[in-house]
Parts: sequence; structure tokens; C-alpha cells
Amino acid sequence: MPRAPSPPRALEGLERWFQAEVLRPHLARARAGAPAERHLLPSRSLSPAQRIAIYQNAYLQRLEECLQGDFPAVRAVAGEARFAELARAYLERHPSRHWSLNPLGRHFARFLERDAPRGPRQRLLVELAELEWAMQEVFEARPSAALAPQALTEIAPERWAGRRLVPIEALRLLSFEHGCNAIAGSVRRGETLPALSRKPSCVVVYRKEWTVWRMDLDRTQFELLAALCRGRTLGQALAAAARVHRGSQARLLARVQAACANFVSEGLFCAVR
Amino acid sequence: MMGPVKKNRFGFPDLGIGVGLRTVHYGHVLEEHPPVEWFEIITENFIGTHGRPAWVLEQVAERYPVVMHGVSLSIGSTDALDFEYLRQLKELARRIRAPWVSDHLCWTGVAGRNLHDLLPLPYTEQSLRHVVRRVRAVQDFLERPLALENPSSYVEFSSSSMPEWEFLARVAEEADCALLLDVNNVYVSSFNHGFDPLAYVDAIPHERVVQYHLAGHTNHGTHIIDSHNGRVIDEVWRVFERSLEHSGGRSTLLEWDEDIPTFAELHAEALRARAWLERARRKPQRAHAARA
Repeated sequence: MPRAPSPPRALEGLERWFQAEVLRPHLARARAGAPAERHLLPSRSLSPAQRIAIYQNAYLQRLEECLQGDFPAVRAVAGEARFAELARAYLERHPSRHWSLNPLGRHFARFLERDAPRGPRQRLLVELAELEWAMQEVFEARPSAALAPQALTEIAPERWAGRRLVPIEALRLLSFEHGCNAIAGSVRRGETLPALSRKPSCVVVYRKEWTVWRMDLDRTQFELLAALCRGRTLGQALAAAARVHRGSQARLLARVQAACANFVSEGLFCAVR
Repeated sequence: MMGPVKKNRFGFPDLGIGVGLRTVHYGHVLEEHPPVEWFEIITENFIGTHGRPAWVLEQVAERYPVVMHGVSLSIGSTDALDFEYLRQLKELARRIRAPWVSDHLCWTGVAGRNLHDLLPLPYTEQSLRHVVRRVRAVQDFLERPLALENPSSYVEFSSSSMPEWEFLARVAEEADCALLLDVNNVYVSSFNHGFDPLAYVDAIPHERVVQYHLAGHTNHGTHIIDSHNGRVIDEVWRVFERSLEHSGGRSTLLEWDEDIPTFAELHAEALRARAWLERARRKPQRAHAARA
């Protein structure tokens, strides 16, 4: 890389002052800097402070809109005012340092869990943020060629237990204390929110033909898929599913077989090893 | 018979009239293949992503010329240039065979932060030397000329020692880069800062202009915001017309980023530029004001 010459000091100082001024109204604790009149000229109708306010307002609006776009269900459940408060606190703690706005919300779920001002339905907001960020990651992930459905049927029965299914990159598996998928779905369809009470749920988020999908899973399906995603063999994944399955061994085998066929037909795997 | 068209000094082709490629129009563009002469993309929306936008871009680039227009180069920042960003930009430009790449005469953040805004520079000799050095470094790295766009701005620094048009022209000459002249931005800034937009245009070295931007804006009475919504107003068309008297016509693109209309309406608005472009091609060109 070319060696960077040291930046001109006066310009650097002015840029740092300008940036601090743009951010100042949006920070909980910000020191007052030099007044705008020291560096800026008035226009025919606006004072220097009014002129820089255009940048101050645009900053928060732009980044908040980005978070609103990435987390519509969090916003719907939190409400406008609380979401705005959370977004502002988040942007103060995790300002953008990337050339793209795409990764802006990557710490949002963790921030809600650990650092955000406490409020009602905090756990639900964390889980919804996890789900909505998983959707973003899946949207952006590298594509993989899906495993053909006949690949499963070609495995000889005696070798089946030792085989591993390799998940596609565009896949995230999540479990929640709330029915997050139903809530996120209703928000996206513009419907009234369903009940927000606790209701354990599992969901796989994946991309198929450039579209992001969400599939609800029961506990058996979740444990099966989780084991496969951790690189376990089909035999080990079956054992993981058996630990949570209630019913006969025959019924478990039938369910696992059906689940695997469904996962493969949905394109969740790219190879069998 | 049409008069001779003055070429830009970089030999970039005149692509005709294009529009920005926006998400809401992906389906229409892929299915209908509208008769648009070229598209412009926001570079940052297509680097580092492997999802549908990347796939759409590949399809579009197979059929149309696609120019890359960035918003995060931050050429005026006193932070170091981001060569990882530039590496990915260069790779994308190669992949889609972009005729040229552009970004803005601005900075977007300092001390490691990105405010995702086109922030204004003080127009001083020090800023000029800084920007020229960085444009050269970017062009060396990209191995192609960079087109710099004049930004809209809402403040003026008391330390500025020259007008924006002089700063822009000197950067272009001293760094040997191309220019993307946004005539809406000229108009917006002329309103906000009280200068003559035609004098701005007359001072631009038009042999370096490779592209025009047209757009709508929002007039708040006390100031204008470059909001890229609505139709192009008559005053902006007049600035465009004046610039065409110097250039004879260049690749022209309509930006529309808020309240985006149907593709047909967007394209129809862009095609209004044709009347001015054809008239300019018939007229003899003005001599460059600064070099007459």
C-alpha cells in the first residue's frame, strides 16, 4: 500500500470540529466546542448554527432510517418513541466505522441485551433483533449450490449414519423464548401484532433463489438441524433429536427422514460428506 | 446536420441518457429490459454483498453499460485512504466492465468514523494540496481516472480562500482527474450560498467533464436540500443548457432517490434531457471562459 503522508493539521482540526458539532446534539455527554460562528459564514437567511443543524438533523435521520429498515419488528414492538431512544443510544455506543451502512445494525441485538436502557419486553426485543439481523446476514451471504434431493437417496443405508450434511452459508438457526417468527411475519405483512407472551419457538432463516425465507421448526427438527450445522454425522444428529423427541423410535425415524428430505428440498445443504 | 461534439480528454464514451439502478425497479429492469441507454449504481450497495443485488447487477451489466458512483471514498478526509475499500471497488469495476467510476469532492468522516454524509471542505490551498495528492493516489491504485462530482453543500467555511468552482477546476487540473458535473448541485449550492450558477459552470474545464447529473430537490425557502426527489426544475435545466454550450453533450443521468416513481415515469423525466442535448449538438460551442 502507498505510504500515507501525514494529514494537514489545520484541515484535520477543522474536520474534527465539524464532525463533533454534527454529532453533538445526538450524544448524551458531549463537550461544547468552538461556536459555529468561528468557522462558518452565515447565509442570507440562516445563521452558522442553523446551517450546521442541517447536517445534524440529516445524520440522525439517515442512520435511524437504516436501523428502522433493518429492524421493523423491534420498532413495532418497542413503539416509535422507545425505538428512537434505543437507536440513538446504540448509535452513540456503536457509531458507523464502515464505508457501507449495511453492517450498521450488527451489534444491535447484543446492545439491547447488555447495554440498552431497560424497558418493557426487553428480552423479546433482543430476540426480534437477533432474528432480523439473521435475515440481514442471510440476505448478504455468499451463494452456494444446493445439494440435489437425490443425493440423500443415493447414500447406502449402512453408510447413512456416518455421513455429514454441509449447510449453506446463507443459513441461521435460532431458538427463542417468544414466537418471534410469527411477530416478524405479521409486521412485514402489515397485520396486527400477535400475542407477545412467552412461547418457546425455533426458526431457521435461509436463502433460496435470492429470497430470504423463515421456517418454524419443532424442537426435534431444531436439534437435528443444529447438530448437522455443528458438523455432526447424521447418526449423531439423530441421537441429538432423540434426546428431545417424545414418542416411539419408529416415529422419530420417520420424522427425521421427513425433516431431512424437507431441509434438502429447501436447499439448506450444499454437500454430503 | 449536427455540429461537432467536443470529446472529453479521457476518451470516455458518450453513453447517452441513463438512470440510477434502484431496488424498487430491479424486477422491471430484469423482466422488461427497458430501452435505457445506461445505468449508474451506488457503488457501496454492491461491494461486500453476495445476495440478490449482486446477482441483479450481473444481469444488468450483461445488457447495459453500468457506471459506478460512490459515496464513501471520502477523498477530502484527513483519515488515511481505505485501500481495502478501493480494492473491492476496483474488483467490482473490473467485473462489470464499468466505463468509469466516480465519487464526490467531500469527506464522510474523520477519526475512523463514517457519518454517511457528503460533508463540505474548506476551499483552501492546504485542502487543495491534500485532495490532489489523494486523487492521484486513488487513480494510481485504480489504474484509471476518477471522476469527481461537485457536492451540494449547506455551509461555507470562513477559512475558504477560493470559490468552489475554482477549487474543483484546480483539483481536476492538478490531479488530472475527470469531473462529474451535477447541475442540480450547482443550483442547490448557488441558492444556499448566493452565487451565480452560470458563472460556476462557465469556470469548469469542460474537456474534463465526462458525465452530468440531473435531479430534483426540496426548497425550504431559507435553503435547498439536495433530496433527489421530484422533477428537474426549469432553473436546473438552464444550468444544464449553459454547461452543454461548453461541452456539446456528455453522458447524462437522472438521480431520483426519494418517493421513487415508476420506472416509466423516471425514464420519461430523464429523457427530457434529450431536447437540450440535441440542441447543444447543433450549436457551436462556447470557448472555455478561463482559457479563451
